[in-house]
Amino acid sequence: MPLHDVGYRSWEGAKTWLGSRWLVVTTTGIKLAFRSSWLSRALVLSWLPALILGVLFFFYEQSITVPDYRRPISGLVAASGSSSEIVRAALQNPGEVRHEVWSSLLLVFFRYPQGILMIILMGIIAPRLIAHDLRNRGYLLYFSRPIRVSGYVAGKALILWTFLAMITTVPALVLYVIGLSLSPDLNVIWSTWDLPLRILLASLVLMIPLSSVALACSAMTIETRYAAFSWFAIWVVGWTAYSVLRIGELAGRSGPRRRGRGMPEIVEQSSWELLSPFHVLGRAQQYVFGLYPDDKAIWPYGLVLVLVTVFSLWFVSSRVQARLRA
Amino acid sequence: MVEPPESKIIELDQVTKVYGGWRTALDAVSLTVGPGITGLLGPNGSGKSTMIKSLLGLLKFQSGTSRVLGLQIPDQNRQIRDVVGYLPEDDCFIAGLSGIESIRFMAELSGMQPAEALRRGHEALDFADIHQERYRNVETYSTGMRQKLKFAQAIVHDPQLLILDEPTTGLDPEQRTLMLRKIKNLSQKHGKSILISTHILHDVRTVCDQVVIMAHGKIRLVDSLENLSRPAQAGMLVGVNEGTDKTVDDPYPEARQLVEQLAAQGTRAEIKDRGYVWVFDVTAERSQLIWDAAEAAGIHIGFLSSAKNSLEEIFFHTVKEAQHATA
Repeated sequence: MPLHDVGYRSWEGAKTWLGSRWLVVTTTGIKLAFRSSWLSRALVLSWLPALILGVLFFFYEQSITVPDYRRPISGLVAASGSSSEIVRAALQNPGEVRHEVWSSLLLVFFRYPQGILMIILMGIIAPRLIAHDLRNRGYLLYFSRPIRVSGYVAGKALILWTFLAMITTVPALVLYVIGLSLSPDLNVIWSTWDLPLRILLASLVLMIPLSSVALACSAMTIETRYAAFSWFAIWVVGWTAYSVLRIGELAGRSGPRRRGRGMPEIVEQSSWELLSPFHVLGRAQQYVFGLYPDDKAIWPYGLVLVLVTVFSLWFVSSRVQARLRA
Repeated sequence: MVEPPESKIIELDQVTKVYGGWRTALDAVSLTVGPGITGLLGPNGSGKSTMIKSLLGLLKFQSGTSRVLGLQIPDQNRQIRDVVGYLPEDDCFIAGLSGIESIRFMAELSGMQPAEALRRGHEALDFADIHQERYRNVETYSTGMRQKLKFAQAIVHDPQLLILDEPTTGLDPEQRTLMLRKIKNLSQKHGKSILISTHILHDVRTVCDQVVIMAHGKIRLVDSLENLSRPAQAGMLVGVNEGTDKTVDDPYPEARQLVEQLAAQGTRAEIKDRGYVWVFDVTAERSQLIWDAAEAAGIHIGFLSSAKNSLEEIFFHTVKEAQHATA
């Protein structure tokens, strides 16, 4: 018996707003996720690319006043997939194409280091989010309280959003601030004012479909290892299918191959990309950063992302509701 | 004693729930449950769990209306769950959390501020007899510990109504007695209304004020335990100390001798379950004639009380009637 056992006591106190209770699912989920040592390591690792890009931002801004930096920087700009006009301008007058260069660097940051890290991070966090509740019937406890299935799903999704923001949005915004503070030119604010908004939009384009698919994988099974396997399989199978079909497409093309400069996935486009979630997300982000060559041709990618998101959320909700009905 | 806020705690009116368009789980159920402790009895598949889930708004029913604590289902589902504590029958927990973290989490879901939820969580765990184990991960808990943890989460937000689905499952006899005592305490001293769904008739007899028996998706019987216990015919129940000369053909020789002795004296009696003797038309004031008969037959009486109906008999009789009606 406890030293100060007071027996049962009534409780009267102010309660939080009914509509905000699902946020408790998020806060508790974040605390739980942080108990994984792998997650902490992945988070530390995810900031390394931001440091490297920070150095690039510094040298690019310095190249406006120090011409010696222009040649290596223009090479890096070319490697980021920018058009030859931008590369040429970066070599001659970097201040004129600042917006395009910053956008390209941010896109590379979102697409490659963070894109791959985010797949790994989601593979660590997401599988257990719903699978554990289904296995241990935790949903009975959640729904004995005043939260809806939509609130439950939103609470779980917000856990993933938080971590995705920690490895994409926050470092990208920090990069932007670094760029601003290191620039010798005051015009930098005027010429790049929209980039924070584009970073937020690119983050949303990334977070919403990704978290939905990750939760769908978790809701598919009560075994977290199968959920993790299905999550990684989606990316690997999609990428492989695209690569194989793309190689076939290029091999069957008559005449000499056009050799694009920079990252081939960014420069060249193929309808087989729709099979690969990584490439679909890449195109959507390219559009958000204003680097997509044909604005009208983006709709298939947008449609795929919307359909995948809607289907995933419907699947998660129906799986949880089916358990409640059982 | 705290007065309950509503005289009608649960009201169901012609509630029907059909699964998959063919399996009727609740068949035009109408029921009113008042304050106190109500035992919900019924065989497996009788619709108890469906009714409980419907009361919490977890299941949508096809027709009928229902209210819990004056709140309408389904329009005020979330408000209902805010003032109702639910102990699920299934073994359930939130993986990765310790006992205290689980309770704190549930308290926060019920609208308590984090610090208050932690304080209240400790109080609820104290009441549920979970001591230092509260700092252990719930996945390491035994079945009994998890049962107590479920009880703690059901009461942490001080609900007006408690819905307890098999609350004593997995508890050892001592813990079971303690749990029943706590349930009774919550009702009698703190004015909580409690609905207990159970298969254990002893639990119902120990704590419940009224009994609801369900079978085949319908309410078959609603009455107070006092009324149900009252036999149709007055009598005394006698338990005799058994000897060692019992046989398969004559399992209760001492009880048989007492019945024969009473019959010789002109008093009707018969042997009931487990060798108890029901002496008809004899009240406590006239119980001396039973002592006399026992002395004459050379039998020692171990137990003597006014006869009551057995809840087991009532339950089996009600369910059997329901089966005949359905057939």
